[in-house]
Amino acid sequence: MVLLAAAMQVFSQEWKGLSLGADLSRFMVPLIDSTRYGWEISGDFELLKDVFGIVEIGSQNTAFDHPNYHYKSGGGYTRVGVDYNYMKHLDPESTDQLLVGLRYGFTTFWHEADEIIVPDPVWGDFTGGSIDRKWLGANWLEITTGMRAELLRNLYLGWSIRFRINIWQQTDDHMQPYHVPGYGRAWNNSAVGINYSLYYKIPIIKKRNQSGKTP
Amino acid sequence: MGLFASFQQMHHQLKMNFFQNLRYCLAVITVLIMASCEELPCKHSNGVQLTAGFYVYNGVTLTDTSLQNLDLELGNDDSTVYQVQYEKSVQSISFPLSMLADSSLVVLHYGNLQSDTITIHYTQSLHLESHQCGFDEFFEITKIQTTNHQLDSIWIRNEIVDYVQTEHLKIYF
Repeated sequence: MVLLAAAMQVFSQEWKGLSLGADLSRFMVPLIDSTRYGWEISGDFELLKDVFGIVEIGSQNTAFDHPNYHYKSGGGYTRVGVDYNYMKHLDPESTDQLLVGLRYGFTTFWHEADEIIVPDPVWGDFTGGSIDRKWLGANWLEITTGMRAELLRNLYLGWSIRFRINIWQQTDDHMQPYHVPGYGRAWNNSAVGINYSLYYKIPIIKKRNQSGKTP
Repeated sequence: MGLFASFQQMHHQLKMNFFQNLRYCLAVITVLIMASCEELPCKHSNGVQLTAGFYVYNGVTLTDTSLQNLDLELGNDDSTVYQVQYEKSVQSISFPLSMLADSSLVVLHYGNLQSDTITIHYTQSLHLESHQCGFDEFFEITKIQTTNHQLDSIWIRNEIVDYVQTEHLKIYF
C-alpha cells in the first residue's frame, strides 16, 4: 500500500523536463503526396514559466518524374524558437498545453534534374539534358499555434499550424527548386504547414502536485 | 468502484482528446491540399524565339524597312527543316534556334533577287520555366556570319535570347 501510495504520488506530480517529439504527419505525407518523404523530431524545455525553448530538426527529400524531366532534391533543416503555453490562464490545473510560438527556420539543400527533354517541332526535340547538383540555402520565420493533450503521464499528442514567411532564398539561374525542406513550395513567399506529433517529456525537475502546491 | 470509474474517465478523456485533435487536423489538411492543387498556365508555350528587324541606312539616317515576298528558310548544311513564305510585307521576323547544334542556318529569299544566308553561332543553357511547364533552352549569340548579296550587315542588339520579347538582331540593307 505504501508503494502504491508512493507511485500514485509520483504519478500525480507535474514535472518540468525535456520533451522529445516526433512528427507523425511526416509518415502520412507520402500517402498524400508521393513525391515527398522525410522526418522531423523536436526537443523543448521550459526556460521560463510557461515559456518553452524549442528546436526542431528534420530532413526532406523530393523525387518525381515530369513527362519531360526527372527531378530530385534533398536536405536538412532546423527551426529554433519559443512556445508560450496559454493553457495555464484557462485552467491552471491542466497539464494539456495550448501553444503559440515563433520560429526561425533555415535549411541547406541540393537539387538536380536529368533526362530533360525540350520539345521543338521545328528543329527536333532536345533530349538527354541535365542540370548538375547545386546546393542552395533558405531561411524563414514561422508563427505557430497548436495544442498538446496529455494522453498518459508525460506522453503528449499534439498538433500545430504554422504560417511561414520567406526571408531569403538562394536562387538558381537554371532551375527553381520544387520544395524547400522545412518550408514548402519554393515559389511562394508564404506557406502554411502542419505538424502532428507525439511527445515524451523526460521528467527532470518536479514542478508541483495536482493540488497546485509546490512540494 | 472508484478506481474503475477513474480509469473509465481517464480512458474517455484520452479518446476525446485524440479524436478531437484528429478531427481538427484532418480538416486543416484537407484545406491545405485543396489550396496546394492550384496550377498556373504555361506562359511560354511557344518556346524561345529570336527576333530580327530589317533596317535601311542611307549614310545619314537609319529607318526601318519592310521586305516584300520574303521567304524564310531554316536548316542545317544538308537539309531544310522549316520554311515560311510571308504573304504580306514584314519589318521583322521571329524564329526558333536549333537546340541540336551550336549554330543555326537562316536563308532569306527575296523573290527573284539572290538570297542571303545567315549563320548564327551561340551557346546554350537549360532553364526551367516552371515545374509544371518544364524546360526551355536559352541562347547567347556569340557570332554572326552572313553573305552580302542584298544584305549589308547585321548588328547584335541583344545577345541573350530568352523569354524577354525584344529585338535581338538588326539586319541592315
